[in-house]
Amino acid sequence: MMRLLIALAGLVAVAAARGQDIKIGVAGPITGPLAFLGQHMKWAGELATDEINRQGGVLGRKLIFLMQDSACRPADGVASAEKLLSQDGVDVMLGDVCSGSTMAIMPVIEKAQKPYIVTVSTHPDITNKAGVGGNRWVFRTVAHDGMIAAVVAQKMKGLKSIAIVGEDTDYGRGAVKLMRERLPADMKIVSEDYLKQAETDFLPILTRIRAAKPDAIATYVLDQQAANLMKQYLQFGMNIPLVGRPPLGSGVVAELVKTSKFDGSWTVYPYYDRFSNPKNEAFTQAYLARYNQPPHYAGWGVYEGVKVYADAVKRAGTTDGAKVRDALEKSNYDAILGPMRFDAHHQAGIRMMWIVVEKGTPTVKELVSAK
Amino acid sequence: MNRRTAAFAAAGLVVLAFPLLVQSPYLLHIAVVTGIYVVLAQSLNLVLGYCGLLSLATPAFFGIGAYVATLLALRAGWDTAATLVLAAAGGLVAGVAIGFPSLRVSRHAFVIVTLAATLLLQLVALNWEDVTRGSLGLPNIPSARFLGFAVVERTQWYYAAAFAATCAVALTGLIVHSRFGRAMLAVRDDEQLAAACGIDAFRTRLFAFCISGALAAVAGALYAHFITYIDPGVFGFSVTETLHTMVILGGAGTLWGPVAGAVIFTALPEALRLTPELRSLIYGAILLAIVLYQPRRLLG
Amino acid sequence: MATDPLFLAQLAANGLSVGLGYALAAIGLALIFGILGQVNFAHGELYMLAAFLLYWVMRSLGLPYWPGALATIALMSAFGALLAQLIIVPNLERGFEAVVLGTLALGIILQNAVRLIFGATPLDISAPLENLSLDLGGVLLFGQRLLVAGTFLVAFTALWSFLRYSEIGRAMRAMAQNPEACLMVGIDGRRVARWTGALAAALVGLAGVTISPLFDLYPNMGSEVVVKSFAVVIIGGMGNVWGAAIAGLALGLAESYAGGLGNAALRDAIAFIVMIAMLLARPQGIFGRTVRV
Repeated sequence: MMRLLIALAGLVAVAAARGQDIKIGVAGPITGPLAFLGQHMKWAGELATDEINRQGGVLGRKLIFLMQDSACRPADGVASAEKLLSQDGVDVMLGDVCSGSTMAIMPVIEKAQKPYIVTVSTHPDITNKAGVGGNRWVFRTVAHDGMIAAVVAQKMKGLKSIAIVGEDTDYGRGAVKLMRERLPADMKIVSEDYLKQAETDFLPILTRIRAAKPDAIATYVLDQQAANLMKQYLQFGMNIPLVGRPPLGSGVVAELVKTSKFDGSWTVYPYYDRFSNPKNEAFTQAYLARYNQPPHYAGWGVYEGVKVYADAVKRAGTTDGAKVRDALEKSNYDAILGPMRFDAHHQAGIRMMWIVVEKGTPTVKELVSAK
Repeated sequence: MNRRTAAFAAAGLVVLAFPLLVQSPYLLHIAVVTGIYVVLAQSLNLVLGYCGLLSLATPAFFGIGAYVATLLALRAGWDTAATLVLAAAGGLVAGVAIGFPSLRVSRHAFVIVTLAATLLLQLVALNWEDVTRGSLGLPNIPSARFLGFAVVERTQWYYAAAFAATCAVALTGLIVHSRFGRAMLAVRDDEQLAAACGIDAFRTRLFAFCISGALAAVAGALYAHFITYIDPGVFGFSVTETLHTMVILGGAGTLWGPVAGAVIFTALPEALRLTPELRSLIYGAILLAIVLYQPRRLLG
Repeated sequence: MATDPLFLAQLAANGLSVGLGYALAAIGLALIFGILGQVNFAHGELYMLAAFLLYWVMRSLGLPYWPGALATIALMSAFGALLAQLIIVPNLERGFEAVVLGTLALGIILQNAVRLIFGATPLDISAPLENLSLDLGGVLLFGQRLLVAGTFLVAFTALWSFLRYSEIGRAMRAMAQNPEACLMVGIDGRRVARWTGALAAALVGLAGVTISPLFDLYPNMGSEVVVKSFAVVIIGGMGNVWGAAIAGLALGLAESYAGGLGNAALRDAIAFIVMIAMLLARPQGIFGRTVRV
């Protein structure tokens, strides 16, 4: 009798485990000025989980995608993470866009002992504090600003003078600082401006840059602000290439780029949807069919984040936090841009794209490996 | 024991026993945030409720407190007991600096100077990179440590925040029931009559404003240690909107109204996380409905 | 470079056009404060709503820009009257807090409703004058910005005549000067409030339809406009319409020179420096505090 009971209990436990879904949580901006990026994160997360579920899930279990609003503020990011981890019981966290929110979530994740895959934030401090000697639960699938700055500085060789325009955030200020450290000493910087993220008026700055005639404008602003900058640039009829990190591949500026007035401008981005290889075409076509928009870089990040997590769970044979973390450390996932492996600081040695505008079309000229 | 005392005793017991009833780190997190908001709400209540002055400087004090405590903890390794005192002193000094020139001129001038001071302080935090690291922010703020005793676990944080909130309410209660408090009310209700009774309106308001600054700065310091990351966004206005909602709808100029406001308007947006997409829309609709159908205040 | 007259002239041209835009965006806020003594915290969202309404009538109803703009202004006036009836009229006799919170709530609702209906992806309106640039001896003037400036001059003249000569306009001015006396001579405060709401929304709607084609559209686009409008209204003397016009122009010029000769951080600080300077020099605002038109 006792044996039967134990056997029954065992069966029930197995059934319960089998019936349990694997929950993936994301903290990202649903509201606020960056809601546009949060939208892509949600879309990509749902696309990736649906694709995996259609093939039978992972370990026979279904994936469930949950997103909470961080509004890109550290305090709301922490509240989102706490809610997802302790109320919803997610097995892994992905996100956020804003590095401030990401860094505030990091200690929460360490306490909860669940893996955290950073898919969009590019602040170098996140990598410095992750992996060996730091927070072992944090992984990053995108190149950080330091890696990108090295490529930008290399591509800037030959320019004699530049003007700098950045957004007044950790991203704008931080990325410019990393780029400047790597520029040759004789490069002249004619001006350096940081604008609030909501600022739309570039007239005084463009007037000044137009008179100073630098070789290029190093641009570190996100999509919405770049659209406003580029509109006003066109009105001035300027002919100074945008370089550094303008979001030239974004759908928001596609119409402006098509005018061919930005030919010769270039950018270094972790991802651009028009990159051509079979894996990417499958991804972009599925995305376009479902959401009527090509995937944004923020969406690509979450898509790959879900896939690399699923791959680790499959190899670990469990969703146990520590075991999946160890499996993630040994990842060799076949990602869209090539194999994804994490170094000692849990930074993926992922490749970046050098994108140049030619005849009104952004074109991927080179896949650059990070050093 | 009358009903009022019984109700307070019951509420006190619930507050004390909360971590035993609730194990969830998420609920404890919300409770800590609520405690910080209670301190902030009393800070605003002193100025808005008891003095009838519209102040937009709460984020300025909050930010000063957060930066003072963070820098002392990160760069000098100071004990939180000491950094809290210095943060409060920072709020007090800022209160004098903002209030002294503006309260003399007019109530309108006061609103404008509080607004301008907040925005200018944010610009300073952004551009004084040697000290604040600008928009890169200050990560890895150590958890609070009182005389060597570290506050790390959520439960410990809960009691620290509950203690801070209780102190804020007690302090406000002591002030409004003192001679100064009666002077504040007199100045709020009829400035000329108060002057006729020999009350100095300027000094009364400045005193309340400085205490309010110290309270908000302490809240900022607690916030910094709790969230472990700050950037110039702490001077932002996202807090102000929520805070005015808490104080006005809770009942400005009452001791317990803003406390209820802080509890309700911290819990409501968290409860609405059930529908992440519609959350803010529903929050706005509920807020509008309360304003339209319950215009006096939530409580008496 | 800093002394090049052409460069300085271009900064002046930019500053004038931007400043008239600030003035156009801010008058509606000044009007509600001046006449009803209330602060409209949904002001930035009204600007955003006008831009999205224009986008909607152009996309879904297929209207061209000009008739689309007119339709938008009509819709905005109706919405303004509704806002006044719903939020301001029931709270006319109460302190300012109820309207502050009510309009704040309305702002949250509008922002999120627009996000849920139109999505968060930034949109774009194309207007006929958008790509027109005039070259005046090396100084560039932009078509759409000239339209903004022209719209301001026309709207301001129309508002001035309306407040001066129409019966309801005179009632509005009376309300601004002495609400109690209005009650005694039988002026209906609720009617004045509805008209003020409609007028203010139409004016911020004009700003929305003329300025938004210059930029991209997204649910939070009102956040910067509202900051600038508050600065303009404060510098102009809380509710004084003439003051707001002059303050808008002055702020536009000051920011243009600060941004052109200094940098972006200095430009951001200018509004607050001017605000504090005004307070010390003329605490009553440029023309004093009443709505004198």
